Amino acid sequence: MKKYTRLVPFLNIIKEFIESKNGYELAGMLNVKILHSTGLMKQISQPDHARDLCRKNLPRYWDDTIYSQLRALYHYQTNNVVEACLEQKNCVLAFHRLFPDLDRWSLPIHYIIHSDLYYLSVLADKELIANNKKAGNLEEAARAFNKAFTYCVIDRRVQIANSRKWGTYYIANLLFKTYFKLKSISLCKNIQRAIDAGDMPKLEEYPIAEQTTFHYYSGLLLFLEEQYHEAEKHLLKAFKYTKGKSEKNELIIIHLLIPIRLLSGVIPSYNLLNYHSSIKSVYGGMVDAIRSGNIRQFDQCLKENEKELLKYNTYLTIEKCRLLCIRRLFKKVYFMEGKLTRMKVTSFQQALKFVGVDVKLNEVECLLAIMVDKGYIRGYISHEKSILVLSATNAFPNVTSISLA
Amino acid sequence: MFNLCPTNKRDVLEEELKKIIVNAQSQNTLYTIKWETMGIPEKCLENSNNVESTTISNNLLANKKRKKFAETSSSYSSQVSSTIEMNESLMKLPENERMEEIKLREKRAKRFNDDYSAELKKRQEKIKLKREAEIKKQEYIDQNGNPDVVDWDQDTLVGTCQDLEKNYLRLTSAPDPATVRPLSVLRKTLEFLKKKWLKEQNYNYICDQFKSLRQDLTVQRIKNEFTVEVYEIHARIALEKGDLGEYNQCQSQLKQLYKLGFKGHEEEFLAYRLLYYVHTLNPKDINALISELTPQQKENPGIKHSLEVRSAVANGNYHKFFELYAYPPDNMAIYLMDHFVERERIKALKVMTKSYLTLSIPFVADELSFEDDNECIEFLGKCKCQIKKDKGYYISGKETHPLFLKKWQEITKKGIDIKGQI
Repeated sequence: MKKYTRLVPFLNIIKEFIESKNGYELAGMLNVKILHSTGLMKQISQPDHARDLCRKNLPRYWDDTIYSQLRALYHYQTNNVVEACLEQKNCVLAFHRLFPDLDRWSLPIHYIIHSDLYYLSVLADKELIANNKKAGNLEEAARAFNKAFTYCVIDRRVQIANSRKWGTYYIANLLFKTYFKLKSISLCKNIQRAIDAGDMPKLEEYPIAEQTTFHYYSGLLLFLEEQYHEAEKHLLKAFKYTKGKSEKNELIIIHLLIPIRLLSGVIPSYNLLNYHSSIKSVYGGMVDAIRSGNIRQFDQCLKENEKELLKYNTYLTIEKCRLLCIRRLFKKVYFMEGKLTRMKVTSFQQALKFVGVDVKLNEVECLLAIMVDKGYIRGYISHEKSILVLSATNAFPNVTSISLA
Repeated sequence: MFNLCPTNKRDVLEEELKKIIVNAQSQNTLYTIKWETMGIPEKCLENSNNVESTTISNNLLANKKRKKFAETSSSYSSQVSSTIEMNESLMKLPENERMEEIKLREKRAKRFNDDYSAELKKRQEKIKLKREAEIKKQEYIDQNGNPDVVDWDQDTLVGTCQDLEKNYLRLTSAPDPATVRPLSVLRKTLEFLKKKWLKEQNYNYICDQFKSLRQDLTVQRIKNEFTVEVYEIHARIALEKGDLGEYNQCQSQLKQLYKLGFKGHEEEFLAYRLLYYVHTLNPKDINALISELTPQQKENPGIKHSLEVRSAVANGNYHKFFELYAYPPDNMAIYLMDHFVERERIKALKVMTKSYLTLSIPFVADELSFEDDNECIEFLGKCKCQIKKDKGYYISGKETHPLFLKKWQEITKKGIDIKGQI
């Protein structure tokens, strides 16, 4: 971007872009991280002077928007993030007054000022918390995003090509990000509902970046509600596009996919485990334990990695894999005894004791009962005789052949 | 403002002081309004170099005085001692300030003698004084703050009602101070309600009274250990009577209060909260709660039990679950578990009927922690399960499995009813 030394020519160019509806160029000038020339900065540093010039040279509401944005930039670059956040908020509010009358050309500007608001809010809150003050910037930002989202979804233009609806997914993704950061995940459902209700172009027609992020969040939300089958679909789609692009994003998705796959009996391959150190440290031990049926090892790994897993929200899912571990152990017992159709419950009890799980006979029966119910074992238990009667064929079916519980 | 009272009148004033102190104490206006700082400003302005020291010393004295009140106001009998203490603290004030202080108190006392007109006059004077001493007050609060009221500001209400009992009415507008009970009265109310609950066990009455007690605390924005105590007691009573909605309200408030740093039985209520999340089966909340537990908290027997219950429910380990139900820790967790025991029993029966050909009733009763065989038969009867007899009662796994499977699917589809209380 050309460096301007005086404010008036800068504002004149902006006015030109507004009149020619050149959203991309205009957005390129409204980034808080742009380093303007010292002359321009000096002019911005004088609030009244800058405001006057903006008022004189720009149409209504654009003047407030641009003025606030420049002040935010000034504060941000003079290391005053809290003030910067405040000004950016004003910028966004002023833009919201314009927005209902604008159409698709203005979306790049919409993107940049909102994402700058997110960025500044996070920084400002961090600083406020470090100084032991109340940090409400991100919450206010969330409200602003919500308003912007509504403007995007509710656009009564007849021609879809020019509609603001093309900005919906961007701002929806931004909202998801904000809600997750604020830990008010339940609000995400409202966004999903609004998108379902809004009559919008298909997701596939939007830029791939927006699609990917949206699939990731949809998958994550379904995962948190334990709807693993649906979650897997979304996460795989997201993974397809992140693979090879961003390692950080890849890892995030892998950490979600591994537990889902584990639950359905698919153990991560050696290559996958070695793909990244974080995967190996968290899942390596557990995979070994499941393969060999060593429950003690499994429990130990679970305890060691509890913090990591809780961070990824996958602790509860991995816990369910414990049953797979036990199944493996029982299968081994079955093979060792020579694939009998009638097995004593005490054999299983002994096996469990061997791996360090000392339980009463009734509890062993309970574990066997759960497996029969889930379909891991085909047979039935007789409590009176304390034996497990197994089916002659395929007593321990492959886990992958059983639908996800 | 106030002029210095001549020295010879001091004795007369002190006599009057003893009479009015009883009134002043019950009004508790000294609590939230810093009369000392408000009376002094002019004086401080005169001796500009003494400003800092006088305000600070007065602030400290006011603090001391207030703490003493906090300790003594909860018991009737110590009224006399507090009178003496009040006089003592008066003596501690520097000579020249003493007259002002006594003048102040006399003025206040005179106001309390009338009824409504006095109330009105008092309110008007209050507003005037507030306006005059604005800056000093803010300074004081920035330094010390009122220990009982979080988020103190000019609109914080101080109640004047003296009744111990009060019915609960949902507020539709700003409350009238005459209907709101101040903190000292509320403390007495709590003691009174505790005795009444032990004697009568009338839940509707107690719940109503506690709700109004909580309301008075909320409108006066009083958040301290007393508030924690009130919510804890109400929560326990609600649990005992199975009122989950009311319990949940108390639990949310307690969570906030503990976060603000007020001491109470945090571990006990953490255990209850975890069990409540097991009841609602909300994985996000469970995840969040477990991630916030410290290793020390995990050793607490109540929390340990709740964690094991959660684990058993998550793994579907009904045997372990009912063992934990039969041997609860020394708290009120069992009342919470009562709410999801039926659901777990159906889940267990679904699993058992799939895996066993026949299930003898004694076995089922034992596994599912029924009191005895009859209770078990009653429960199965309610589920419309067919019970057979052959040397003892039993149910057929194959025949009854579809029934329990269907019931379980109905439960999971419907979701958990949180009784309209978020």
